[in-house]
Amino acid sequence: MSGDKPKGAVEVIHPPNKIKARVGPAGKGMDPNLLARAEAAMAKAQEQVDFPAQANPELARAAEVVQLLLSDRENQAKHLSTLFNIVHDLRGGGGNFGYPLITRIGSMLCRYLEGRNTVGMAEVEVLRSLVDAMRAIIANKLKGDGGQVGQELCAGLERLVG
Amino acid sequence: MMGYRLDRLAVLIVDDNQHMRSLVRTILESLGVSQILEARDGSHALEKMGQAQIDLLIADWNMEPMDGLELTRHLRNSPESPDQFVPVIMLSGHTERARVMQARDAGVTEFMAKPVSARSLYARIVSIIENPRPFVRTNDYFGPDRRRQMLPFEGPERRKPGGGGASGHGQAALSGDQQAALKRTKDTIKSMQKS
Repeated sequence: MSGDKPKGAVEVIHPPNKIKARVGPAGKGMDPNLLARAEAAMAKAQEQVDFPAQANPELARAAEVVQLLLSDRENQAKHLSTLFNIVHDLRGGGGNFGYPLITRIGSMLCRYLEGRNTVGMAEVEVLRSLVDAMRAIIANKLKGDGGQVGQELCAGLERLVG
Repeated sequence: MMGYRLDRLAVLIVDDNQHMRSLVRTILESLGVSQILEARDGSHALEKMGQAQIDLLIADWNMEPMDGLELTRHLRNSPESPDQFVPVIMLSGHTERARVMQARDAGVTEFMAKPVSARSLYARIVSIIENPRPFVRTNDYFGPDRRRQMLPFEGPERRKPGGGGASGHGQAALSGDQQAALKRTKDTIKSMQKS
């Protein structure tokens, strides 16, 4: 739907504001009471999710993929992509279900992988440490900022990934 | 204070993670949204959109077989799109600026970095209601006007310039400082395994 126009031509369209028409003219901005209710409901829902049960098998799979980076070098690009996807999903959920350290370390790993199609021994060591650290966090149910151990771990990993 | 009648909205949540769908549903229900549909990927979302009128999509990025980016492109550009103008909030674990730009270029309306919060989701819904963006059609783009600052970057700081992109280095690629950090990290993990 976007071809057949002279080069550089721009058509600006103002579609009808269907959402506004539906929700009515009465509101303005966020309703603080409604927001408080949503935040409370969300906090309750978050407590009910067993994030370690979800993360454990995924991190075990991530550890296996790290092994494959050395044992199946010909398919490294595929394995790196698999590793990225596993960790990307976990980092998305970690912060929402009480494990922000998983989000923090998962983000380190995802950024470390950006632009890499192959890795050598050194990079595999870095990746293994990042995955091992996440496994240790889940195994120890290290919620929140993880206290001193969690902070030391993250500081070391941040130096490691540069 | 009187709020918008969000109970009149139909919202489709598209995410392959059931816990995340459930969390977003909880927020929407608390905000009063009564018609909430769920889909596990882009193709499933299109199927759902063929069955019901949807006012707003909240979509994850990484899904299979059709991800959130492909879904957005399809909605904006396909002759078979059920609604070219439907607002799309992309909710993603991606925080890298290049990824955010990619989402913008696919035609998303708002970008939200995970973890999701009730406040950030509510704020984006209100923004879509109060500040609708015009659509733009050029030779290679159709979607919300990208010139407006609409994609806040919420992630942590990106890695330092020059810190990545290299590949295939051997063990020597780790500096002395990194090797020391690696050893300390391994020791910390070991002590955690013992405890």
